[in-house]
Amino acid sequence: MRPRTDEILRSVLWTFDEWIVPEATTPFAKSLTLTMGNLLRHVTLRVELEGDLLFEDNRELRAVLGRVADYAERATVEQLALGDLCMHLNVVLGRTFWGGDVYPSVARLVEEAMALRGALSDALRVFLARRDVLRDDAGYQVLRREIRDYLGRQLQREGQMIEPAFTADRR
Amino acid sequence: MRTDDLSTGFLERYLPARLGCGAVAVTGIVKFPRGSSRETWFVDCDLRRGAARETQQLVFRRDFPGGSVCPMPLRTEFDIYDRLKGSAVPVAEVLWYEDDPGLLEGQRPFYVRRHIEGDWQIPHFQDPDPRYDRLRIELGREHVRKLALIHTCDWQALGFGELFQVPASTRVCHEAIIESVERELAAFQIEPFPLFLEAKEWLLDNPPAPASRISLLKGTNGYGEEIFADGRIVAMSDWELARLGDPAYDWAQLQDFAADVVIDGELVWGLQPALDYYEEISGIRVDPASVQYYRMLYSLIMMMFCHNAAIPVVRGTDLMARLCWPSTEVLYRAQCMMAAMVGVGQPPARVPGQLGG
Repeated sequence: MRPRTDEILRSVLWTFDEWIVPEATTPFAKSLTLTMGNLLRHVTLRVELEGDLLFEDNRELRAVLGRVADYAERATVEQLALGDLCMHLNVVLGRTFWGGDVYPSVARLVEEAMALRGALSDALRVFLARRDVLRDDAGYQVLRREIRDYLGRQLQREGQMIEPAFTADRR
Repeated sequence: MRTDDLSTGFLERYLPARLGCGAVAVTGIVKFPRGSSRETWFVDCDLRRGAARETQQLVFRRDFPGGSVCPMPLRTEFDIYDRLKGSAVPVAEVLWYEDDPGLLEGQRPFYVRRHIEGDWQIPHFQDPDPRYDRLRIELGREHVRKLALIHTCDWQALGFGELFQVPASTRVCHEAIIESVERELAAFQIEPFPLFLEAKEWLLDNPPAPASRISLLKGTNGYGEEIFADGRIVAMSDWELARLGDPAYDWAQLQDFAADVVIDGELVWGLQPALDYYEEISGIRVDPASVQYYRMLYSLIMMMFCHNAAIPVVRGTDLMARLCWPSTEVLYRAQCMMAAMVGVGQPPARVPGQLGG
């Protein structure tokens, strides 16, 4: 269908700026048009980028979680049993969010992302509770660095949909 | 006009009994346009008491249809003002809290306070022209004097120990905040935030120096949060992040009034000069490193209330687009602060009027 979603959104944003914003006369309405202009730019970017970014992010997070599960499986008795964590992560990693012949919509990608990020949060909670035992282990330090690096890249991906959008006064 | 707006009709029916007068004629209703945590309405009215007439300016404060962005209950906000009534801390006088369904006619609960003449905006304060440097310094010093009043008030005698969690000691003020924020976030969280846990660990592993004392804290403060008249603060507003703890918490949330002012190459105002002045008048020493620590800790608080803004939109209980801004951009900024804290990112670019830059 033409116009495409991005083309329609561009048209809506232009019409909003040119015709709606000047008509907003009360302070409250003016303030809301500022917020909405920023949000419309954000939505335009999300429509364009979110699917690809989530797909990439989920793939990277799966790899990180795989290494967390490996570490948990190998952890020594002195480091306290992390076997439960290993099993939990393997269950999440084994879950299928869409079939091979199904289009991975953004909603499905979000569902997968929530499950994977939830699993990472669970792992971090376990680590946090046992950090006095784990912190001197070199392998653990490498793993935590890897997790933090992933989180930095996740944020960079999100930033592509935020930073170019929120440019004008917010309210 | 929207159906849930405060209406002239409702107010004219409701107010006479509360104000103990005859007829009330509402002459003006204005909704404060900037509010992003709660609604604030300015109401002007003429009252009749027998043959006499008087004018009153009232301020109504209530939650959004889907609740407040900050988890602090509206009632607690009212109680803060109520406890500060008669203290040295300048606040608007609260008149009453209304949650009687028999009187609300379907409206949300609200509280009413007396309008204070003044303005949060200060002409030329943000004008970079050096001619206004002295103005910036004077306003900064005025704000520091008022912060000192809050931090030195007898919070126990004023009843704040019953209203807020009291940290177990000056050594663990930061832990009390981290725990309470995590608890508040968990109460409504609909999305996992692993970065929150990374930041929490960093904050626990790198604690600030013990606080000089446990004080009443305002939370968000500074330019945009206080009401000025003739160069003096006449009312301190926006207490949604108030608590008890280390005064450095408030210094970390101070907006614009401790920004550097350099005259003839000399730093005459800024964080350290402001802290020195504060210590001189309050006797409270605050370490700049603790201020920096609480700035980082603020990212947890920011994430918590920004994520809370998403809940009514997701549930459809309040579809006001304004809520989508904190839950997207400001939440992202909070996460940038966390990423910088744990060494995998840069702090967010500064945005005027927003913390976290």
